[in-house]
Amino acid sequence: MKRPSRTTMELQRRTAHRIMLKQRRSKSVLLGHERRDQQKRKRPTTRKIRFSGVITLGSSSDRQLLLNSVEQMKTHASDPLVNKIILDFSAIKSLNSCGTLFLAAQIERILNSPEFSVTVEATYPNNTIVEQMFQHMGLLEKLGLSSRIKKLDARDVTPWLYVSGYEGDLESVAERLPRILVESTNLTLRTALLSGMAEAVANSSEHAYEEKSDGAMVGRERQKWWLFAREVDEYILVAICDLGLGIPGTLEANWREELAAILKTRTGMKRKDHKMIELAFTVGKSSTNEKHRGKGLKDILKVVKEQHVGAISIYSNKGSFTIDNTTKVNYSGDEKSSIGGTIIQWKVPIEAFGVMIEEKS
Amino acid sequence: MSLITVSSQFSKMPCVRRRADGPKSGEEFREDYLLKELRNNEKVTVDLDGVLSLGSSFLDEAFGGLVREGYFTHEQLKSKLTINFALQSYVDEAWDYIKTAKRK
Repeated sequence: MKRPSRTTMELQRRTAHRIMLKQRRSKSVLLGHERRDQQKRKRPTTRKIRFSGVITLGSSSDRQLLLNSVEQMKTHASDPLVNKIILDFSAIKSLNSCGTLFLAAQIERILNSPEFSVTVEATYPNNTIVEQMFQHMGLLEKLGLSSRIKKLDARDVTPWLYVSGYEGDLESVAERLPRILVESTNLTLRTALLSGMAEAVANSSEHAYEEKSDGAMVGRERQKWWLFAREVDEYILVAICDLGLGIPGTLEANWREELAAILKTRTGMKRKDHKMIELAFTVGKSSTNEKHRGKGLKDILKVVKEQHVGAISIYSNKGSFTIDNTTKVNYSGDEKSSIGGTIIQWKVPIEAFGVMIEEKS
Repeated sequence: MSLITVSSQFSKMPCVRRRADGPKSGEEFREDYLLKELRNNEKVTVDLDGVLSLGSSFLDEAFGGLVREGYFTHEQLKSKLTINFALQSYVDEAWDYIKTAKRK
């Protein structure tokens, strides 16, 4: 093999030197810029998340604003360079049950889950009813704010039962439920509603959380549900929330083959989340791949489909699904963003429950 | 004859299917209450009156599980077991799970 000449070697050496100098120069310029940037970033930062005026999942625009704020909250909470987030509730003027339950669940998830180590603080809402509600729910206290209102007296606040629990532990709820759900004469209706509620909790424990590939159990904090119940005016309202895979997620992850077969036979049917919710009430195979599982979702519809009273709203991931026997307006559709879980709400006229058993006797 | 009153002896709001899913499950009721009584008595009555919720997950695992897990057959349970509840549709549902369950 021919050795390179002295001239060629010198040329190569000079070229290499020039490249090195160029790299060093550009590196040093970049390093200086980056260093300043990094120093700035390394300082622990505080982020403020402002919540909009209406906390609801019921209207597309307000839902999107709520989801944007929650997403911001989660992003900052998991950023290692953010050590504190401040939740600015000052602008909130109106609370809807499903939106509030969803927000409370998301905040509690950040406060209690070991995956988030950020400090979470908050500002008081300017609206006194909103403050009363957050105080009533224990949310302000959990965020380090003392209870400023001595006596909670708003009739939109005090009737609400707010409770959360792990897995299928509903025993503690039984004694705290609105009495009409426990002692009214229409046993068929109240059993249907409470069985649907129990099945929603059972579903969140059985299906709503992904099992690891090695079969290991997921963390206990993830197996949680949040519940709102209220007896006031003409209605009983019960809402339950979990932050699991969502009904469409469970179908996609676990019933893939069955789902594919159904989709094949129904021309034009798309994998939209609301369609997946509709399908979940009909499929008979569950995430455990045991045929006997997955019977529960029909229980959720018993009140509206078998008793033909009240309304049910289901929000799961991007999907929304409503059957309303009062207005006769049913809805099934997709929103822009996912709520990352499931919220089911029943709204049933009190008169449908009959009278209280002691009144009858 | 043995009587199990579910609302006072077990739970007013039984909920989930398996022990791993949470407390007061269908599996817990079947294994710790029902099975013991069925093995030690000629006739067993399960009284569900007073129970507030009867979800399918609980009913299927508690009753259908007796056949699925190979403890009894549908025929054996027909002569041994009585299920009482004020609403017959839930009793029928429990028996339907027993009837359609397939032994593992």
